[in-house]
Amino acid sequence: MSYYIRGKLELKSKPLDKVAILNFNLDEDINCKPGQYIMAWIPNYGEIPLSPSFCSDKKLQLLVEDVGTTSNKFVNLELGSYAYFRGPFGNFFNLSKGNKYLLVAGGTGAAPILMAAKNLSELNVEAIVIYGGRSKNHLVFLEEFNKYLRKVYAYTEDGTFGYYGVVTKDLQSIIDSFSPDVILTTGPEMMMRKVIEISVKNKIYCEASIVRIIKCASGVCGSCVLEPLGLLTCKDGPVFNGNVLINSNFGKTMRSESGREVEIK
Amino acid sequence: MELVTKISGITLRNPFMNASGVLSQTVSLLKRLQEAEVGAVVTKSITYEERKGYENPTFIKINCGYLNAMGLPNPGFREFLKELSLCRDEFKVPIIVSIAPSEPKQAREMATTFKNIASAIEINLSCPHSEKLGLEVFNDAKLTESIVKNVKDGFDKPVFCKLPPYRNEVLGIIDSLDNCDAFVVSNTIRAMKIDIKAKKPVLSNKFGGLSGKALHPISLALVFELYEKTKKPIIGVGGVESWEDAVEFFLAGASAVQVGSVLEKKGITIFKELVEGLEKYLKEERISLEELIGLAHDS
Repeated sequence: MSYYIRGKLELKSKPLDKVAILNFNLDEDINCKPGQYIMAWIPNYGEIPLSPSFCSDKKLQLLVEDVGTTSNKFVNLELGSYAYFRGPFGNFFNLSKGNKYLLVAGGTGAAPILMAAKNLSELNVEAIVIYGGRSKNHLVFLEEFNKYLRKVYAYTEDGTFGYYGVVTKDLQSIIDSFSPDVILTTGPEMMMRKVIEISVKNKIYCEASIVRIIKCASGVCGSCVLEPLGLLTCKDGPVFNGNVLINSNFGKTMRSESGREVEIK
Repeated sequence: MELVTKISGITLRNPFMNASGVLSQTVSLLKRLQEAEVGAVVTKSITYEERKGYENPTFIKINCGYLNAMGLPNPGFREFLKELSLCRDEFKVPIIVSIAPSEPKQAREMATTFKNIASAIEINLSCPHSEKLGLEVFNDAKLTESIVKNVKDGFDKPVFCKLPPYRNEVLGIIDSLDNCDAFVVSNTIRAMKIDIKAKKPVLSNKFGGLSGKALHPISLALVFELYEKTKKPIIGVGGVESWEDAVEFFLAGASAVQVGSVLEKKGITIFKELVEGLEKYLKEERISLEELIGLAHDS
């Protein structure tokens, strides 16, 4: 057996200049649950943690944004090319925590929320989503969300589609009318911090799948540490309870590749 | 049974510590180790300048253990000192600061800087995958000797040398390391993994260090041999995954034991398991820890 599971790029779309949706056929199965991540490798370029939007039956769908050498290579990967995967790693969203789920997804961070939406619809759990992006073409999973969920609140920052504004703009009033038991969120860190603050204020159970610099993916090296408790995003996460995150440096600081503490903007 | 032990005059509440590099690059992680019952904490190896480390893949699990080529990522000694200084009072266990110097003057400056923070300095002379650091320093006997001397001159507490697992090289240099106070035996073995479908080495650095199960008997043999060649205390490290593995190190002559990769498998609760396992063993065998150390040797 090979160390990695090989995937061949079968289908690709580029909804945005720096964003690609990649569909791989895998040599072997990886069963990734929503919120979990896999390590995605292109030899001679690098390996990055990615949380898939779909990952079972030897099929893998990734939403990749070009933010560095390896993700750039993924975004520009040609059809028929190979990439290599291992995992899944980490914990996942709790989909049996209540009867009503409110999903909040921002921009290119929406992939794990899409997987959660699909699974919740298969479990016949009532769920709706608030889905936001910079502009209409940033809402790359709009169609899929509509397929799985009875209600999709779309928000764009430039007003080109749906409601005008950021995803958190009407969160409180949507909470008031929908009365969710659980809120799940992924997206930009400051957006998630806001979602968590509102959830905690409303005493609603909330989980977020977060991003840190993951190196060992095994809870050994400490590069993905969440201060001040020393929690490891790669192993204790990447899904954390809102009550844990709100008392942490989430949305404030993170560690750089060298371990230096840097501010999040 | 009493697990309190001493290494070069430093009192440890128990003989277990983390291996450098494992959950040790920030204060919050070191505090987690302290809460997990370690006898001392060992920091990530700190270099003079900031290092980002290598691209991923940097750490992989293989059949016989783990391979890593992290590339010694760290924020540089000044930044690390700043972080550690803010929380020094919160540590009740000794802090052993690991440094990876490439030349004597910088080694001395780093050692001096950590004077008020560290109970001991561990010099990384054995990282098998970083240019001009670790093993590459060790392979230059004169440079090694000078670095150890300079660290010793700049730091008035114990200085440990972390050695590679290569017997002949270690035995060849051991006499010239007379300046140091204890040996940490051993670091990882230079090794490689190739993915047969990608047809390429997996680690971005191609070469890495092998730790885990496969390393244990190799480090153990070197600890055993060094115990007969030196009077200095030895800290055993390599592939300890259970209290039984640790007991083997004590029997071979180690006064303390560090653990690393096992955290992937067992998490931070491994330290509690080691402490309880050793206590029970000492009780059952009616022997003290002091008596256990080196007991596998004839006479």
